[in-house]
Amino acid sequence: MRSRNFARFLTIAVLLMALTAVSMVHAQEKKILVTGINMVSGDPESLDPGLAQDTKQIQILDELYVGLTRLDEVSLEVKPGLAESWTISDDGKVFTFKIRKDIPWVRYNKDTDAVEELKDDAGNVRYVTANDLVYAWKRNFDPATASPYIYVLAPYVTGGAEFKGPDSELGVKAIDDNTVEITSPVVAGFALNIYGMWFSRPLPQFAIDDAGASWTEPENTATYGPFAFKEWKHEESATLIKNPFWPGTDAVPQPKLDEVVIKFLDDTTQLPEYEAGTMDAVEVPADQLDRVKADPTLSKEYSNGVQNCTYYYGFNSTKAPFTSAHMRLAFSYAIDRAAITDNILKAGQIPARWYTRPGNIGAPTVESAPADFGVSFNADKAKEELAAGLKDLGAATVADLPSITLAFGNTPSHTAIAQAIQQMWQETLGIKVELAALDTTTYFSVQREDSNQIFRAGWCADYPDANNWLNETMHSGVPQNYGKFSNPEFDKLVEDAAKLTDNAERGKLYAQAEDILVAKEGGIAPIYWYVTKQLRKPNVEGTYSVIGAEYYEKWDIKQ
Amino acid sequence: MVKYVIRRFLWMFLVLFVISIVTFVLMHAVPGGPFDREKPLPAANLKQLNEKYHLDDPILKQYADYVGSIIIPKITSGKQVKSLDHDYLINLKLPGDGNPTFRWINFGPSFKSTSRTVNDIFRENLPISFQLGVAALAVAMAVGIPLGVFSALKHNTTYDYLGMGVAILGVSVPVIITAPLLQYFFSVELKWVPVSGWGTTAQAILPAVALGFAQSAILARLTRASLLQVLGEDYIRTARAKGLPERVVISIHALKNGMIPVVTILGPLFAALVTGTFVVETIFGIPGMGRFFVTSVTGRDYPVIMGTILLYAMFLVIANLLVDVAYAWLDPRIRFT
Repeated sequence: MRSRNFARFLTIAVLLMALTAVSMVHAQEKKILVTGINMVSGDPESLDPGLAQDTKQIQILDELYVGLTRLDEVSLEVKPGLAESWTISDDGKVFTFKIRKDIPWVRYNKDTDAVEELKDDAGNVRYVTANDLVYAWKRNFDPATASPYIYVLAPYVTGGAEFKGPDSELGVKAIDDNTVEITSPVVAGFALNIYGMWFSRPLPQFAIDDAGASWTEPENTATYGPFAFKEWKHEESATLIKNPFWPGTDAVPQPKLDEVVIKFLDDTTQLPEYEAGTMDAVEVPADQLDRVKADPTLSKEYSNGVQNCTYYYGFNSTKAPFTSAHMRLAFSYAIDRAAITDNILKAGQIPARWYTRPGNIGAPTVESAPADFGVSFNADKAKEELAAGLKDLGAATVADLPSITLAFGNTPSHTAIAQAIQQMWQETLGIKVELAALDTTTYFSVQREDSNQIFRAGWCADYPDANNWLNETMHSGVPQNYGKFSNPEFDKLVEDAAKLTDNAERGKLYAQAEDILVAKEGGIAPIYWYVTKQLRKPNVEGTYSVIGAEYYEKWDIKQ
Repeated sequence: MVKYVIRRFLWMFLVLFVISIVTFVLMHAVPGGPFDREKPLPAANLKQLNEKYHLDDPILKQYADYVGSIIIPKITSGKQVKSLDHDYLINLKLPGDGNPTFRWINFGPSFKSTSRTVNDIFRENLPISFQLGVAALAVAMAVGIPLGVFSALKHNTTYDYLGMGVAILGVSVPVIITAPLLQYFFSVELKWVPVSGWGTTAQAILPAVALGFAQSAILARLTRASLLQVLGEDYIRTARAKGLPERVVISIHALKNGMIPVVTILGPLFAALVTGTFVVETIFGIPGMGRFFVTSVTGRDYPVIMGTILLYAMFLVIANLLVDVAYAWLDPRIRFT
């Protein structure tokens, strides 16, 4: 009896061990990437493509939904995404996209631990169709949806700007299940880019009608991109799982990773996680850069890439003394950008000589632009401009000028930069500028209503084209033009450039526009161009995105 | 006693009502709104959003709607699809056809999150903060009270100075320093516990210690001071004169009375800890409630501001009530009528 029991016990033990061994091997085979890139602490405010608006949300949405077009995250080429091909009419205003027929709506099933194709009531697989795209556009343009970003698409679809509700006309039409026709009131080469952005992607009406506001939860959602949505731990993490039904295209291959765990953590927590070996790719906090660079292991895993953003100071051109262009230029020339990037920021940020960050389509590059293009620190020039400015304003000395305030959102980094620049102005121009560090939201509301004389601002591209910078944020009267910069010649240049399709030709116009903005008019004082600060484990292979979102379907973990 | 508790309970609603008005007025008085961002929205979009969340209504109506949605129950029927405007803490199925449901207490949507409501935050994030808060309080009491007793008994000796030195260190070093130090030492170097996250006991240790340690110092100092005072009382001399062992004199006679100031502070401390702490939760990546107290204010997320403050106030009032009840037990001289 006893020996039989023992034998049974032994058999079970051996079986258990074998099972454990198998599952361990299995666990090793599963490639799970744990990343914090583009993340900070706190929940993504929305994972609804119609409502999303920040980097964190877009990072996740880019893996769950693919636009008609897909921007190559390294070369910035516009490639086929959901659409396999497209044609553009001779007048450049009608775009006809052929949507792939082999892309089903999918959802992760917790019970089977698998991604499954979704079926309609009749049991047929629901494929992504032109109608899903038309539904999405009409829904996102509907004022009831209150999509915060749809205004970017509005100028490039007929009826977009005037859309009032379900009965309004919109220039998007499903010719058949796989053909969609978009009509634009204007000619714009970069519209192809915008038609692929997150708010322009097809949406699952059946899922939205079914689950209401909670349709973006993994158990209710429907997605179709290279990854499906496995789990959303609110305030903590999102887990994406390989979608086996994504066919794999040239621009969007099938993922090599099985899962991507995206942690919503501040960089200050990401770094110790990385050092403890529990995260594979993280952002580095600015105050730890010196230590990371000095560390023999970490320094090899550290990389600096392009972050498509510009940090600048703007001048309110309706408020004295910045009604004078000479005055604005004096303040701009007096800023020693290199001193800021070298001594305060220290992560390889580039002193900015113009507004549109190099790398954007149509933007001047550091290599191609003449050495004296744009604006950079020049104390003599600053003093010349100051003298001319004083003359403009009828002031004898700087003592006759009104008091000047520089406003910024109260963060340690903005404050450090503001204090440094305050001192530069004091030394070069002999002008004492008051600093106003405002609560961030208060600051945004001041910016929206009527900005201070000098204000801190920044821009990160929605899509990597100079149009997004110069036309959409610096043209007279646009909301992002906080300083009310206005120059008819500038406006005409950026309007004309938007209508051209040849990027080289557009580049020439944008270069002239930049020259007016930063060097002739001093509408803004560009300060630095952003860089990314990442750590990746040596066994992680992947691309380095310059557009703000990583495409994890191109990443791999070497075993 | 029962009457007293009931009366205090009713007072709580008045207190909450006053707090809700003050908060509502203050948050609307602060410049900036929930949709102000670095990239400002076009005026038309802003208008749409204000309409969607009824921010274009007169302020009095907004307040009345807010309070109404919390206190007035509703009976709904048909299929329940989650909408941000209608999410209730209490959902009771009633008998009858057409799925009638009794629904009560709606704290409104979060303006920042497009899929979550304030009730979601209470349901999902509050329990986590509560667990952490209780654990931290346990650490604080387990360290602080014995340390205080020990220092009082070894009054003016090296042990006393050492104990109080630790206490002063705990009070003076902010958790923003101790938390990363603990992380680097125990997680990165020794790899004993995970760096961040929530869900396992191992993940709870560091945040509970980081949070509890600072509070334990306050408890230690209070316990020491109060015990020293009590030890000089006549009834302690009497107890000793009766020939009671010192252990009994301290633990039964002195400590019980000496706990009154400690219990007084435990009430608010409990309310503060269980509703979440921003810094510790952020550093340890804990999906608790603490963050909402800060982010809701900086982001002008009005319903979340109201919800978090009312919740905190409620905890505070209840904790203080418990403290008062505890007085009566600790000191027989105290009576409530």
